[in-house]
Amino acid sequence: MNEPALPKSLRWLRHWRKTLTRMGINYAQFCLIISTKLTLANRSGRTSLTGQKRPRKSKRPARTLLWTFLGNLLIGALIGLMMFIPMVLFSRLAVLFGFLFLMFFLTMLTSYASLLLDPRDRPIFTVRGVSDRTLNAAKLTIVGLFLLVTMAALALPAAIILGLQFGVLVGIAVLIAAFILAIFSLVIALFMYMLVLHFFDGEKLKNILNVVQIGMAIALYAAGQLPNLLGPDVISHMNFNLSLHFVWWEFIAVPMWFSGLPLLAHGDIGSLSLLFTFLSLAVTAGLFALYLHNAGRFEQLLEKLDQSSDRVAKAGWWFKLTRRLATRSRETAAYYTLGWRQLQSQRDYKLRVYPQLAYAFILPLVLVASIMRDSAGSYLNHMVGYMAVCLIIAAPLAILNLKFSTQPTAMAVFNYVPFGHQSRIRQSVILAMYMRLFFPFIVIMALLSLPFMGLHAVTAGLASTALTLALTLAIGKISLRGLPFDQEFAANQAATNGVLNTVAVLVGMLLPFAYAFAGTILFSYWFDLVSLVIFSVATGLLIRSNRFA
Amino acid sequence: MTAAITLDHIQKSFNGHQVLKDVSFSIEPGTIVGYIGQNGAGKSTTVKIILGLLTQDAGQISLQGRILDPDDDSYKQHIGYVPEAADVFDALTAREYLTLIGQLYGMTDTAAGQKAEALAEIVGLGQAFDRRITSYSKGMRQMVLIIASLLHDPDILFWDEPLNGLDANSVLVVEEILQELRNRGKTIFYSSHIMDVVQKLSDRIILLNNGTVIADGSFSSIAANADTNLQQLFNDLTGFAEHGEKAKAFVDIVTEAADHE
Repeated sequence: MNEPALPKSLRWLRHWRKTLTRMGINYAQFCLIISTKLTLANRSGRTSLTGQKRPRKSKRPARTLLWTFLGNLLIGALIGLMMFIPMVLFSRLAVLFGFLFLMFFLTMLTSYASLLLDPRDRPIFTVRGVSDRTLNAAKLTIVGLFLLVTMAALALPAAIILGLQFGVLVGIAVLIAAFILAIFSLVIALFMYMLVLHFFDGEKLKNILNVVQIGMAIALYAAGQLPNLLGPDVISHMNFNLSLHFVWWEFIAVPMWFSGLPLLAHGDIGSLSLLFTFLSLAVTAGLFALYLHNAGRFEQLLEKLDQSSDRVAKAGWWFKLTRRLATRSRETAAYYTLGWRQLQSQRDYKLRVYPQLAYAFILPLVLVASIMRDSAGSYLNHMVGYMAVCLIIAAPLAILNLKFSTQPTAMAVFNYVPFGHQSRIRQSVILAMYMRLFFPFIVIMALLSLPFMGLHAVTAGLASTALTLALTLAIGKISLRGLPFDQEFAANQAATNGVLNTVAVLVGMLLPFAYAFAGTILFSYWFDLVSLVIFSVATGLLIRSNRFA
Repeated sequence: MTAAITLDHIQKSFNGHQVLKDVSFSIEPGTIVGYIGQNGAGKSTTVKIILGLLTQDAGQISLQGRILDPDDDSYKQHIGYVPEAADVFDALTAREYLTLIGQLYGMTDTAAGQKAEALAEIVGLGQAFDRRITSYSKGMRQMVLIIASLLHDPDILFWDEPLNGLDANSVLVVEEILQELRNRGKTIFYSSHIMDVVQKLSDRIILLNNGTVIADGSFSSIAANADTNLQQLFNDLTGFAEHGEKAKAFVDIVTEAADHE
C-alpha cells in the first residue's frame, strides 16, 4: 500500500513510523484511517429532510483545533490567574495540577468519551484486515490530538505566568508535566472503561458505564467546590505553604506528583521532588505500556456495546403527567413521546449533558450550603427558593446536543409522514427535555426550601419554573434549527461542546444570579407574582410563535 | 481438494442465550452456498465469527485449509464481505470510499480508484461516482457495498442480503455476476430471505434453525418431492404453517376504522 498523506497537524507522526510498526500497528492503514476520520469529522453537517447534506464550507482540521485551543484558553486564563496568589511554588503547582486534572478529566468525560467508546468503526475496518490494535491507535491519535490541544490551552497561561515569576525552565517544565498529566488521565479513563466493559454485559453494561461516567463527573465537580463548602474559617487555619518534606497524603493526591518536574526545574532538588518526578513519569509510562499491550482488546470489548437489548420501555407516571401538561394535541404529544424516548435511550446524550446538569444542580446547593453556614437566620436564607434558576446554565448544552443521535437517518421518517412544521417537533422535544431534566430539580429545590420559606417556597418555585421554561424555549428557538436528532456527533463538535460549557457557565450565571439576588432582597409575593406573569406570558408567546410558524 | 470454508462445532452465546448451538459444515471452492434461516437463527453471527468481528465460545474455523488465528488478520485479504446493514461512511463520495477500501486491502490509491470507477461505470454508478454516498438511493449504496467486496479480487465472498434495495435489472446483473464468479472458482457464501433467488442460484443450501443446521445439501437432495419449492420447504422445516391466519389478522387490524382526529 502506498502511504496516504497525513493532515498537516499530524505530519510529525511520520517520525514515529518505526515505533508504531514495532508495536504491531500497520502504519499505512493507521494513516489512512486518521485521514478518513478527520475528513468525516470536517464534513459532518446537517442532514436535510430530503436526506441530502446541505453544502457547507468545509472547516479545515487546523481551524477546528484552533477553536478547541481558543475555547479552552479562556478556562486556562482563569486557572492562570490563581498563580498570582502569594504562595510558595510547590503550593501553586499543587493547585495548578489539581485544577488541570479536574478540568481535563471533565472535558474528556463530557466531550470525548462517546468517541472513545464508539463501536461502529469495527464492522467497516476489521473485516478488511485492519487489526484492532491499528484501529484503536488511529482512534486514540485523533481524540488524543484534541485532548493535547485542550491541555496545552489549559496549561499555557499558568506556564507563562510561572515562567515569568520563577524562570523559563519552570514554565517549560509545567507544560511538559501537563502533557504527562494529560496522558495519565487518558490512560486512567481507558482502563476504567476497559474494566467496566470486561465485567459487564448487555443493558447492565450500558447502565454501569453511564453511572461510572456521570458519577465521576459529579464527584469531580463536587471536589472542585470543596473550598466553598469548607468555608473561610477552616481554610484560614490550613497551611497552604507546602514544605518539601514527605507527607503521606501528598502521595495519594496524584495530581501533586506532577509538581515534581517543575520543582526540579526550579532547582529544588530533593528527595520529594525527585520521587514525585519519578512517580509521574514511571506510573504514566507503566500504565501507558500496559494499555498498549491490551489496546486491541479494548476494541473487541466495544463490540459488546453494539449488542441489542431486550429492555422494554415503560410509560411512567411522571412521563404521562408531564406529557399531559406540556402538549395540547395528539400531534405534539407524539413528538413529545419521541423526544422523551430518545433522551431515555441516547447514551451519548446522557454522557455529554448529565455532568453539566449535575454541575448546574450542585452549584446552587453548594452556594446555599455556604450561605446558610455563614449567615444562619439572616434574610439570605431566602435565596434557597430562587437558586433553582441556576439550572439554566445547563440549558445551552442540553439543547445543542438535541441535534445529535446515533441514528440520524431515522429522522428521515419525516420525509414521508404528514406533519405540521419542524418547529412543532423542536418545541415538543425541548419541552420533553425540560420536563425530564429540569423540572424535577426545580420541584426538589422548592420542597427543600419549604422549611425556610413556607408558602413563599411555592411561589418562588412557580416563578423559577416560568423563568427557566421561558429561557429554555428562547435558547431553543435561537440555537436549534431543522429537525432534532438528525446529525451524528463528531470530534469537531466535541470542541464546540467544551467551549459552550465554559461560555454557558460564565455568561449564563449572570441572569439567574441577578434574578435570585433580586428575589432574595425583595422577598415579596409581588416579586414572585410579577415574575410568574411576565415569564408565563413570554413562554406562551414563544409556544404560540412556534405553533403558527 | 482443500475446502474453502470449514466450520467445526461452532458455539456462541450472548448473555446466557445460546445463538449457535453446534454448527459444522465444509464448503468446496467454486460453490455458491445459500445460507438461510429465520430472523435470529444465527446466520449473521456465523458470518461475524468467520470475519473476526466476534469470537466463538467453542469450535474451530478453517479457511482454505488454514485454521483461523485471532491474532493473524492476513486471511481477510482473501475475503470479500457485503454486510446486511449498509455500513459505509456516507459523508464520503463513492470514489473516496472505494479507494479507502482498496487501500486497506493493500492496493495503491490510483489502482483502487481506477478499478472502482470501471466497476461503477458498468453497474450504472458512473454519473454519481463523485457524489457523496449520503445522496444515494438504497440500491446505489448496495452496489457500492458489492463493489467494495470485490475490489481486491477475493477468493471467498460472504454476501449478506446482497439484493437489498436493488431494482429488477440490477438484480439480474448481480445474479449473473455471482454465477460468473462461481465459474471462475470463487466460493460464495450467500445469505438471503428471498427464497426463489437462493433456490435458483445455490449449488448447496444450508438451513439454520435455532442455532443448529437442520438441512444441508443441494435443493434437489433436501426437497421431499419435485413439486415443492424452497419457500415451502423452509416453512415445513422451520415448523411454520400459520401464515394465512397471521396475514388475515394483520389486514383485519389495518382496515379497522381508525380513530383519527
